[in-house]
Amino acid sequence: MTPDSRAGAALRFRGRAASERSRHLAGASVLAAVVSIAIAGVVLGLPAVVFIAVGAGAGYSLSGSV
Amino acid sequence: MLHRHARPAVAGAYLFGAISGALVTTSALLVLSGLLSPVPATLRSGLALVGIAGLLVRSAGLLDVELPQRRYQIPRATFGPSPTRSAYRFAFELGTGVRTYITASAPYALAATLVLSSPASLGTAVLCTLGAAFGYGLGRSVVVVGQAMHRSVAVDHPRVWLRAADIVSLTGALLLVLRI
Repeated sequence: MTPDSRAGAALRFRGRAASERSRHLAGASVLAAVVSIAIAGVVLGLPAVVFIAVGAGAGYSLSGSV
Repeated sequence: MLHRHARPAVAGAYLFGAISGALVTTSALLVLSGLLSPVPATLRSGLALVGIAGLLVRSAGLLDVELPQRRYQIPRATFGPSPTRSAYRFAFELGTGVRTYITASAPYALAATLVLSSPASLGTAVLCTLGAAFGYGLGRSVVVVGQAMHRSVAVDHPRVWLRAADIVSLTGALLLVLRI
């Protein structure tokens, strides 16, 4: 039996909820990675790498809607 | 999709699906970019610049403009009995960026950059198209992939980081158009 079926509609999610701190750390890490990739692309003169960064930022900006 | 802890296989399928879906859209944008190539590059860059600047203003909350989007949720029929296959199909539809709601401005800037400011050389343009698809798929999957690597479940990401990613991405697009 899953937690979902035990608790019915009262419990929406399975698993332990992430703490506020870890959610902020995850968000900051993603953003730091995006900025680092963009800077690397600019410094190395590789537009494809900058496109990866812009795409990753655009994709992540929508992640809250999943 | 995010109501439970994602197994690595499901997260992998999700990532692969999101990149595949994004590749379909970016390839279509590459073709559109080729069709627009007779238009002078300065005019195309100017249009991209104005568009992205407008999106930045919108993202800052100074402009309230409705952008085109498909106002439907991804249908339940997408989900089947197999979690990995369902994850792939769902992420594929999300990855295309044209099958459901778009709640941020940056994806429009990415599309404008690919269409109006793609590099002149075909080889570089194809690389940029692949890079954009890979990045978009990766960014779209980061929450699910992150879940596979952690024991805890984070469904709602802090809005401050999503909004910051939107602005960072818009700024990146602006720099690309300016060829910095």
